[in-house]
Amino acid sequence: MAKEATQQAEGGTERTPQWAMAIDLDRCTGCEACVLACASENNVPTAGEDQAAMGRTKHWIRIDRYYEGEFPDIKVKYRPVMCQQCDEAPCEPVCPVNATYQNAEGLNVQIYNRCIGTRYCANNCPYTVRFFNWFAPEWAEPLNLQLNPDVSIRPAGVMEKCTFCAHKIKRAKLDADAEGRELADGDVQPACVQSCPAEAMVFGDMTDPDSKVARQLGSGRSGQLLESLGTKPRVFYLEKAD
Amino acid sequence: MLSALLLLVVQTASAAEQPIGFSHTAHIEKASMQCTDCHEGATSRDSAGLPSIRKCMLCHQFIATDLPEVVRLSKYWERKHEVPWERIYGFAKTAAVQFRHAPHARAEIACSQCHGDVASMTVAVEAVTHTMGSCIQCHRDNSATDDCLACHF
Repeated sequence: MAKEATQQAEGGTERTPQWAMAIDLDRCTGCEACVLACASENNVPTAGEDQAAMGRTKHWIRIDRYYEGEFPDIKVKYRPVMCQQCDEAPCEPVCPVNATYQNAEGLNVQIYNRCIGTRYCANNCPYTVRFFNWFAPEWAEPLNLQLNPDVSIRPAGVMEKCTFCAHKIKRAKLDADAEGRELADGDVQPACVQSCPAEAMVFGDMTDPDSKVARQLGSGRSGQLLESLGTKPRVFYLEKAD
Repeated sequence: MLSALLLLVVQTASAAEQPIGFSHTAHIEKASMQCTDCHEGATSRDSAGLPSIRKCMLCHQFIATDLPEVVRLSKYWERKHEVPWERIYGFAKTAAVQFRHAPHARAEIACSQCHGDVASMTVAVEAVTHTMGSCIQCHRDNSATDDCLACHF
């Protein structure tokens, strides 16, 4: 769970949301709209044809495919995988400079300008969702004009990964604050959740019993990826129990 | 005296070369304008913003049209060009800092706290140096968040 000390330092009496995501695998069609939305929202560069052929692509979210049965009686299952925002994240204790840590809201944070690029975190991540910038990212004109100003461009030498769209969380909080109201369920929609045509993904505060995500978690269908490792991810996958 | 001289040197060094010698003090002290009259976004948006020449000309089509700096302004206007103001505040891209003006205005942080006494300046100079230390100190003093993610994302 969130670190108490950090929570106190945040000050104020406001409730600290605990962000979580539920992904309904029975709804996911593997269309990869989330992958595209994530890349454009978070300024994730494309690797190019040659580099991609060598497996050097960078995706904050990917779709894993699982095949069940033999052709022609085959069933394909899709699983969107991004940073699982673990409560017991294996990436955090191995960072020598504290560039990655869990904040009071349960987000596994990556601070780019603190990162010195040891890459220990990526090596220790069982979900292989961390990516190292070997080179400075480049966008061929005019693609450089579509970059999202709310998200920093990661320079060469630092690690990056899914942030649960931390900038959109921030934006939603500021908007709510400007309107003088509390953050409501559904105000925060990470790019993947927003773009999912099958509405397979739900994001919200899992400690709010009325939130969509809390209801999904209590549905009895939810599980976590590589649960046995004890990483306690904040991403939950919903599947029909066999 | 020496420190004042030193300050003057530092201020001169950090003063950007502006296309027009815009006097902040003339507008704020004499004309009783507010910072937000021109930097409109300061209270409501991420960026405080620099005004368009259209805003300048709302007044300067009629007011003080013979002053040399206003004559220079109207030359830009006649050529239908914006004034290429030089920014004097901002964060380096490598700092990966995301700053939002609006929440700071809502917290009633005075403009002068981060920008110095602009009301008494002619051409604005970078009177306050923004460092992570100064940001965090203020955040702690005001019980605001000191989570790295508050600014770096």
